Amino acid sequence: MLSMAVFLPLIGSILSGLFPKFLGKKGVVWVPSILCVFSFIISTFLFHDAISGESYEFHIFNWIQSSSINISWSLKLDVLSGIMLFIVSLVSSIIHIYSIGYMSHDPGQARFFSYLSLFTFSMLILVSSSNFVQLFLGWEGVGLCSYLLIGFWYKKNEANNAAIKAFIVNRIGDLGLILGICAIYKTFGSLVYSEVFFRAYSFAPVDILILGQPIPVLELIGFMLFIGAMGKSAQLGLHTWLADAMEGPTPVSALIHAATMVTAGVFLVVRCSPIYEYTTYALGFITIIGALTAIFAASIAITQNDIKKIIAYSTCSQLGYMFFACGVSAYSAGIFHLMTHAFFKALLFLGAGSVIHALSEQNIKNMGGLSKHLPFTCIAMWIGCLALAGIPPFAGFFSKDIILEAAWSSHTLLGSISFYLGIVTAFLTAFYSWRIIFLVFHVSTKNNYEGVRESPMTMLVPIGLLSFGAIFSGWLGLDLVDTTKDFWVDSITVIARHGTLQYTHHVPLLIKLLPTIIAVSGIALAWIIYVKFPKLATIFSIKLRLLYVISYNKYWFDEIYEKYICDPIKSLGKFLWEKGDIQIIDKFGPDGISNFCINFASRLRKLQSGYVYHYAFSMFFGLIIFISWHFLVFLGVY
Amino acid sequence: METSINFSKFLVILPEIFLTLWILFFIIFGVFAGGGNLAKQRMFTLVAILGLVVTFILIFTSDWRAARLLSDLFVQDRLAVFMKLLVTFTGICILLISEKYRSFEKLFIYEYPLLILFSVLGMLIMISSNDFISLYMGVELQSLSLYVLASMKKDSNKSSEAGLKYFILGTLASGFFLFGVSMLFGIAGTTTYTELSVILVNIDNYSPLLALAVVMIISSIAFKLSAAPFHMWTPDVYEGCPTTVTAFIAVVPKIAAVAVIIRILYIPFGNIYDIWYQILAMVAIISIFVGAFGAIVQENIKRLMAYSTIGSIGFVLLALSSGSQQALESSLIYIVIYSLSVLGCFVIIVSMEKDNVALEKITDLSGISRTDPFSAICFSILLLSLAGLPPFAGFVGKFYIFRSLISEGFVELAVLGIIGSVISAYYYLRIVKIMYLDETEEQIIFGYNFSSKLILGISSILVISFLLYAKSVVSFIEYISYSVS
Amino acid sequence: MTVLSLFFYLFASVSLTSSVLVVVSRNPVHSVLFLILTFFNCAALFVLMGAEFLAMLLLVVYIGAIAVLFLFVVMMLNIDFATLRKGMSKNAPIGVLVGLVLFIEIVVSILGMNFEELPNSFSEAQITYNEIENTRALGMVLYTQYAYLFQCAGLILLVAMIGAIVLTHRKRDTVRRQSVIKQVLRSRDQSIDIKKVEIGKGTSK
Repeated sequence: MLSMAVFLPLIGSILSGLFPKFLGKKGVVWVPSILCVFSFIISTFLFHDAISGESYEFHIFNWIQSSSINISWSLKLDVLSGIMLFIVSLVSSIIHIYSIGYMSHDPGQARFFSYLSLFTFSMLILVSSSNFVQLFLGWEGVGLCSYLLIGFWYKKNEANNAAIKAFIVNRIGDLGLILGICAIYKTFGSLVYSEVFFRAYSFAPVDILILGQPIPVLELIGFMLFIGAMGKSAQLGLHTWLADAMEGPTPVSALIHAATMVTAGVFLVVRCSPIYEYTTYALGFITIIGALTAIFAASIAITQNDIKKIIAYSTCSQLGYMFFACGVSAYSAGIFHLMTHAFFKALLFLGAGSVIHALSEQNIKNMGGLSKHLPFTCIAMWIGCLALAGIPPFAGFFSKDIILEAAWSSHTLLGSISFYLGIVTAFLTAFYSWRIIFLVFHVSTKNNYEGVRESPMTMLVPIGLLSFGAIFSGWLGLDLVDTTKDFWVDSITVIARHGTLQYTHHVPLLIKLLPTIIAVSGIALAWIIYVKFPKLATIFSIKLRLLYVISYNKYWFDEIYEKYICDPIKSLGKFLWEKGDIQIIDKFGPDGISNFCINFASRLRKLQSGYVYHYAFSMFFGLIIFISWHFLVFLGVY
Repeated sequence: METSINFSKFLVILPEIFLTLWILFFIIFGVFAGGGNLAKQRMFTLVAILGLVVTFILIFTSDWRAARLLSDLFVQDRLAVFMKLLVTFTGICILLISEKYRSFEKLFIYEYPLLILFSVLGMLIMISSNDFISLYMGVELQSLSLYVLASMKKDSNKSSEAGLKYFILGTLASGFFLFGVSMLFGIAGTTTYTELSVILVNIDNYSPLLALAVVMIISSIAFKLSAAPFHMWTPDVYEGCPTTVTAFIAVVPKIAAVAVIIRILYIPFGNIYDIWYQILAMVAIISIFVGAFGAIVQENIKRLMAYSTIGSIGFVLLALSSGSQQALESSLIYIVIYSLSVLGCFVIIVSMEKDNVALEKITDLSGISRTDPFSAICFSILLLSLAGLPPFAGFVGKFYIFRSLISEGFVELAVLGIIGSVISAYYYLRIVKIMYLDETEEQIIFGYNFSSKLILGISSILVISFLLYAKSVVSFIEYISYSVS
Repeated sequence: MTVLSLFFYLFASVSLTSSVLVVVSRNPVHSVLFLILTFFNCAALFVLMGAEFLAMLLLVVYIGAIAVLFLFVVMMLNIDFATLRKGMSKNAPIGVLVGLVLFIEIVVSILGMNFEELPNSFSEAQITYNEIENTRALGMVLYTQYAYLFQCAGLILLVAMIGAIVLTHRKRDTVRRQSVIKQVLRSRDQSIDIKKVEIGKGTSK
């Protein structure tokens, strides 16, 4: 069952990737989609099994067997992987179906679906693996698919650049992940989850010497793994690729860069909760990075004009929420938000995709009053934004609320800081959400939208499905964070003194209501600025010139990286290539040796004079050398 | 001394006797059949091949167990049988592939196959010799036939020159040999291997006279093997000879000479290892490097093959210089693979022609991958095998050599050998590059007949699939090599 | 004993001197004559050692056949030995040096060998027919113990003969041979052409 759920998308990928002629024009889109839906159905059953307490590892075959390292292909089913399987296969199926409509005019459909299914497969491998190596394989697999899909329109220069950027930034994170895995292997002598997690607590007091400094080994591991997570989940510092990744087709943005792949980092942290629970600094680092990312990305989002970029920064910001939830040991809240976010963010992207599909335009400044032309999309976007902003009873309310409460009740300095940052972020979130809604759908413009029509059913049905998710997944999933029920069995470890979720029942009413109040006031502000007094927007952008420019230019992160990291590396590379490689290694290495050989050979050729007496002399000479050698040996010289 | 002849024991020399009688019959037959046309030449070749085939069968069916007869001048053992089989087999192959070449070089004389038979007979005697004198007889019989064969193209100055050079330098080498043997006789009072192996144990190991004798004998065999610094004749002779004779010289006498040097080193000199191993290692290393560097600047493919031979023989000697059982096996494996690969290469070189003129420039091969992909692929496989690239046979050969060296502790020699091997890979790959990447207007033709195409195909397939059956070859060679030592 | 050694030194020194003269003398005919002198002296040395058969062989084969052949070649072919010798003065020093080293090494190693201490097999290997003369002794082993080698030597000579024929024999078109078949099959018409010749004109052919 489990392996079927995982490998069906791979089959779909291979079929449409390698045998597009055989499947035909319809087949290349429908076969992978249907296989993906099957995978979803199986995953649903598996999820059901998992929450009813079943957990097992399914051994497929041995992969690497060496003296001390023993890695096999095996799939793990427990509650955490079950819920991830469910979310990934569900969103994946929906996106597959949506893409049938969205990509209908693209000549590269077969390639697109092959990549998409391959991505699904890699993501399923990632979430269902039972050891770190297989996880890493899935991790790299999704990275590869992300690269391929961002650069899907490879004739577009920006797309290629964005793809390369995404790949390289991810590699930086991957380096951390690899080091983390190495550290785990060095410490535990094993890479299998069950063995590592079972013994994690006993290594809490153990130090490892790095450059003579004793460092707690679990802190080191946690830190390294989180660097990997930061790359994949676009956290502050390694976030620059996410906005550029929007060059890919919109379904890709929805699936990979909103709902699934970017949450792999969160999944990793949650999966490694048995390790993180015994760390202090690593958890603190996660908390502060998460909180900073949340507010930082939200503050950028409020001034962007590209509809997809706004949602992308919003994703970044929401991922920050999930991380600081993990940072305060509310892992289940993180996963909860991951789930609700998957629905409403995919919904927002698909809605945006629907708008883009209709208009072939991404700048929200050039839109307006579309509610009449795209009523269905408009309603869907409203639902999505309500969920995103955290207005009850939509999904985002429940998950965001529990995260903020957990942060509040952690009673640590970092927890409190992240709580306040989270509150401000909630305000900004509401503001930019309604900025989109108002500017795209409600403010009337002079634009002529003759002929703008709703998208085809294959696109609208997925949007509808996701809307349901965005509305109901919140209270359906409340069990996830209900500490009175043992929902997670033992797939998440929280030690007693980190039980922040238990304390959420004791937070003051004001704190409970604060996020909602803040969200509503954000919406109100957006209404005032963009609907009631439209001139205010320009006035604000002039009055608060400095803040506006900072936000609009995304804090100049790209420029700083370009100037202080990329350029020096490039010039170092150029130096090493020109001076080191050409002038030293080539000159004395390959070129030098080959020149020497040719010179030597032509000298040797001159010895071959053709005269018999030269040849005879050579024979005599050789003979005498060898005899003399023996004489020297005999005389004791050698 | 045996006075009564045990007839069943006498049977092991039957192949030699048969071949001698066949040769005598062939001379008479040739004189009476006469004539210089193609059809008659075919017949002569067939008669010669028939003789060799029967000899092959007689060798194969003879008693493989060790035996010595004719007052210990002649020895029979598994090594002898194996090497004799190899010699006769390659001899047959050379006769088969020389048909076409002889037809457009107008080599219409029956003495050509006759002298090849003589030469093969000489090699059989060499391989089976258990005494330096019988070895000398074999060597002279073999060499004298080769000298004549080398200058067979009477119209060509180069051919005559090659024959003369080969003759003069060969005589010099024979002089070394006889001088060394007489010294040895002076020391030990015998020239029989088996007796020497017993006597030489008791002699003070570093007597300079013994060293002198050993060095002289090894040098003369090294000349026959065309190992440096006794190699100088090789490129000139290879170039000057009729190409089929070059093919013969490149393959068959080398097998015989390897058999001889193995026997000499392991039986009479088996107990004075200290005297010869450094000499052999020096000869080997010099050969490998001369082979590698010499071939780089060559334009004539026959000269290039000469250097290739020098290098390959260097590897065989390198293996033997460690003196172990494993070394013996690895050198045997290598010489088998070498003869297989070179045989295939020479099928192509012999067949290179244009308008009935034989070609031998490397650049003549340019672009044949388009006009004749079969030849290009086969030649590439064979050259890559000679270069020692995995997964071809040559790699296995070199691998075993280096393994035996390292297991005996000769790591430096192995490293030097590998460096030489890397350098030599250049010129093999250069030919492949010329065949595949260079352009040409001139269209070269490969004048194969059926048998040469067959030999080329089979040798290529054997070379490329060697790894599949390497295990059985190695175990067979192990079985062969246990008869020595 | 003293007489023997006196003769030994006489023959040895003459043969050494004459062999040096073979190499250095300007006139090639003189060279060959010195060569013959060397052979004679060597033969005499063999006689001194009691190997009269080898001595006679040397006289018959080397002097009777080879040296005389050399003489013919030198006299009949007009070879300019002066040009052949040109490189000699240039290469002589190296040649002498190399030769000297080899010579010293051989001498040292022979002198350094203690033949007394050799294993006893040496005496066994000596021809045990001391009471009969050398020629007969050789004959007794040559056709029995060493028959194999004798046969091989015969084969080598056969190859030498064939080789000589192959390399020198050429089919020349100018040489006319008698062909009985051709002669018999010739008819009158092929051989005779009758023409009427007008007076004063002659034949055009």
